[in-house]
Amino acid sequence: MTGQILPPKQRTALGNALTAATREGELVLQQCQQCAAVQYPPREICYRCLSDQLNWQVAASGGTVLSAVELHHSYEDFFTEKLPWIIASIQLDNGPIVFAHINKNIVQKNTPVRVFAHVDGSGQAVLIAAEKNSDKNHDPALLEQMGFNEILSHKG
Amino acid sequence: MNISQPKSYAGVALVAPTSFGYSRQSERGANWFIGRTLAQMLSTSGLKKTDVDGMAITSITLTPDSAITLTQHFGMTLRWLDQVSLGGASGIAAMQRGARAIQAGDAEVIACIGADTSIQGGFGELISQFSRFTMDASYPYGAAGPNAAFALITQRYMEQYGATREDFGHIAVSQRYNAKHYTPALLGHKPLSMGDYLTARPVAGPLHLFDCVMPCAGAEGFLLMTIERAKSLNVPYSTIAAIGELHNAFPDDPVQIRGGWAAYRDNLYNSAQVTPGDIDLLETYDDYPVISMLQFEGLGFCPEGEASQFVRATPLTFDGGGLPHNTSGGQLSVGQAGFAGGYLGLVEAIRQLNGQAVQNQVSGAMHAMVSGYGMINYDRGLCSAAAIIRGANV
Ligand SMILES: [Zn+2]
Repeated sequence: MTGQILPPKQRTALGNALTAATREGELVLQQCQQCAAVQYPPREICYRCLSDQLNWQVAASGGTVLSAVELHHSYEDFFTEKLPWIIASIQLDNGPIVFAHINKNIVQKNTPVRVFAHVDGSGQAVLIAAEKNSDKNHDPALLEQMGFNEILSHKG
Repeated sequence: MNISQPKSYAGVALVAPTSFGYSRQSERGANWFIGRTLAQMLSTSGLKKTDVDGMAITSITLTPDSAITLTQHFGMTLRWLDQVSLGGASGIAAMQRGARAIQAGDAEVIACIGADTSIQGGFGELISQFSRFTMDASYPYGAAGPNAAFALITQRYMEQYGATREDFGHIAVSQRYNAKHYTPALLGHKPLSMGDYLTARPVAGPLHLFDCVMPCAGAEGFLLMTIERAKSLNVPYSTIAAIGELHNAFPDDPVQIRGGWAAYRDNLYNSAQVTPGDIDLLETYDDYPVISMLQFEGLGFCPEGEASQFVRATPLTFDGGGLPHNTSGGQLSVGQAGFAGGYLGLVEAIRQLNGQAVQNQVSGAMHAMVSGYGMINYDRGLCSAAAIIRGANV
């Protein structure tokens, strides 16, 4: 890791709370204790009923690709040196739309995917979309390409 | 969504459309752009500073100052003051709030000004902290400002409706032609051919260089007053035939392939007693060409999903005999002066209908449609607004 350019670390307090609630390979999202709505990005208030009783809970990971594109430009060196970089918008089966890192073999519109969180080199949770039927909670090729292989080796 | 028809905006005059100080970068602060724009508007309309009793300000680079601190900075005492921060919908929203204040007698002369400066490196900082959702859920993924969100929207629109890059190119190339006839446009002197457009370097997904606006410094403004006051000043003016707004429209659409315009366009045409065919020029919010297409569709110039066919069949230049569109070159060719970009189309429409455009005047223009859009919080633009502006002689 020494001298490595790290992914963006800055988040709001809620973004940091999401990281704190995340366990590697799971998808943790806010769920309203009043109306059961699942929401993302994290908020202080439930978008549906305005309750502030929001818990971090492991959420179902299924979703489908809405749109995916290659980025050819970024303001962050971490991405700039790896361009083109692919990101996707994904609709989770339980409602929320997330942006996620994704592999280029599953970028077609409507491709079913599974979304999980990975704690990146800056110690922050980022969402990764992997093939629906992969039995692992990781997309090893993507993670390695992202410079996250040290985490994988820790996990064996 | 059923939106009731608003009351008329009759009796309000739009005066002194002013575009000021466009440059790629500036050492000056937003205060300077706002103050000098105000001075220019006063001088062209024969008013004194003390005649202005209301002000609506839009600026993202004015921080840590604000609309209220400007009163002391400029030595003004005002009885009506607003700060409108709705991104690309700010100009129309400022006009809407100000026009109601004029009608109600809360103020007699209101200056509406959108202005922003641009400093080296300022844009990167701005986009990394644009909003909470941006900070937590889009910027960490490499999204360089709104480019990624709009690449995703554009990609989806192309897949859904069969739109091609050439279709977007028609918009960009026509606007560059218009900009050649509008002196303040920062890119007006650089010709843009379809070949240039298509071979430009890629930015994100289907978006290439000429799909993206160039950040710059600049200001836009106009004055609101009663028609009687405008007549007594003997200045050109135009009027407001209709205004609509809807924010966070259609939140359940998974990808934004329509904005809020469709929800209130019937109200606009009913209020103004015109049809899309009566519109002599259209000023859309062109942060990306696909968004202009959503406005063609949402405002009823063509059916949903058919903007590609529309732009293939319709000349969009100011003198092409079709539908003159973004007649000053729009943000794509003028540059995007921060939130002043949300006034650019409106100020150009007022200039056109007042007969104050110069080389790019649309002859005989009587009705203009102006629309606004903006604030990319996460995956879509949240604001939408539109207005029909009418010439004084209609
Ligand atoms: Zn709730």
